[in-house]
Amino acid sequence: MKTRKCAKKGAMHTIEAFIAFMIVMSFLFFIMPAITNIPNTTESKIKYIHSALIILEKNGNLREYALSKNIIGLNESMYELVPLTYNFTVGMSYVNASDKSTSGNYSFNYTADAGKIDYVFLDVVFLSAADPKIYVNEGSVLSQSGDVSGNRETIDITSSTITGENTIQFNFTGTATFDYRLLVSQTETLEDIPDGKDILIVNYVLSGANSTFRPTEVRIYLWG
Amino acid sequence: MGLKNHKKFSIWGYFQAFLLPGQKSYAIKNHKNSGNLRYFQSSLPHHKSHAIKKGQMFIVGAFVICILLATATVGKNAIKMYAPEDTTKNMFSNLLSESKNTINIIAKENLTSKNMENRLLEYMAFLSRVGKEHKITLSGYFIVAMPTGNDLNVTLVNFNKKTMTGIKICVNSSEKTIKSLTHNNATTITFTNVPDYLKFNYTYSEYNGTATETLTEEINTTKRLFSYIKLRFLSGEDIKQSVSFN
Repeated sequence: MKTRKCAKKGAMHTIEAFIAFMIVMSFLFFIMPAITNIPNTTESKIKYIHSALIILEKNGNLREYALSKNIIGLNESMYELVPLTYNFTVGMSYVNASDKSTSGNYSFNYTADAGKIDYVFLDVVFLSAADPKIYVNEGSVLSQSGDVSGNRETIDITSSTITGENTIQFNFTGTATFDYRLLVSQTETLEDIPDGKDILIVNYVLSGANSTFRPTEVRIYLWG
Repeated sequence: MGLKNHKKFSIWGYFQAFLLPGQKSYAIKNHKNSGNLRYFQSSLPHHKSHAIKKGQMFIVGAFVICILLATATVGKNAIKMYAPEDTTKNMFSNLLSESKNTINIIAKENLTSKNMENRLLEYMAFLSRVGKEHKITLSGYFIVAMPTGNDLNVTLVNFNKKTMTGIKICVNSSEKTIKSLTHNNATTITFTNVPDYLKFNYTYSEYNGTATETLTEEINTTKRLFSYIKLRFLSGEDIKQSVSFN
């Protein structure tokens, strides 16, 4: 009698467990897709990623990440905000800019990582100068003769830039005054972007934070 | 006794075990009225204590799991769609708002006209490069007013892809003209002894491809640091343009 009672109880629990299982499965298969509604078209993915970037910008995190070049932090925040089904990686392209008004023969140093460089531009405005010669790491990048006062030159020195410390040397005949502006743009990505896939880039531009001027483009690379 | 009650188990009685106490008594009363009194008197009291304690915990658990899953999912999807529809629009609105920040950041870094000129030129060089990568041609200009004691310096930064000519800037009754400023260049003019409350006005005419367009902006303000930013995006046949005061 007792055995039959236990058997009946067990059967009841089995039926109830089965009903519970069916409830959870029905919920997962029929109701969850309606709730989640993960946008999967290209346009909606771009929209979604951009929205996530705006949220990070509004709460101040994006600016912090850009200023500290914290790609890992950015990646973690993006993972918290975007659907798990999105394949993406993060990157940043930032510019270190320096400028000066100076005179006479002059040299200065800058550092770069050749593996990350997008471009290095040297912009020079000759206020009063003659026979300018400009060298990057002892290699000539500009050589002119005669009076160049009032002229402006933008020189692409990307290929002359090496990893580590670089030197730019200005030589003139006689006294010269000039302004220069150096832009070193470098890009870092958290991981390699897969080959053979269509990559979408969603970007967000920032100019710096507080009193630090550092133009940065935050990039989210999306695929699949 | 328990076994006997199980024999009388009904679906109605089973689901009644989930009802709240108030709802349950209402349900019983209704059954009394409908003549099913005997049936319920014998089946319900046992289910009330027995079923909810043991077997139905699975079902209650299932509902709890569903609710938790739904809450977590809805919470994760609660991102508002701020962004406009396409990349150009996204970038345009981004650059428009960021250009205002740029001026504040540069001013905080070093509030001099020279620094403003240099930094804005650097910023525009950076933006031109970003635009090029996204097949967007970016042009426009910045007019930034900054205080220097009682004076007001007005800096014009041209990234308009052409030489800007005849830009009239007027502070109160004093008018000055920047005759010519080449692309990717900047200049500053100074207005002396500017009172706290000032009227600022600038006029600039440019040929937009089909006609000459004259833009006049005027503001009465007590601000000593302010700017006008014109941004123009050209992406394929799509053109976006904005002049904003900050």
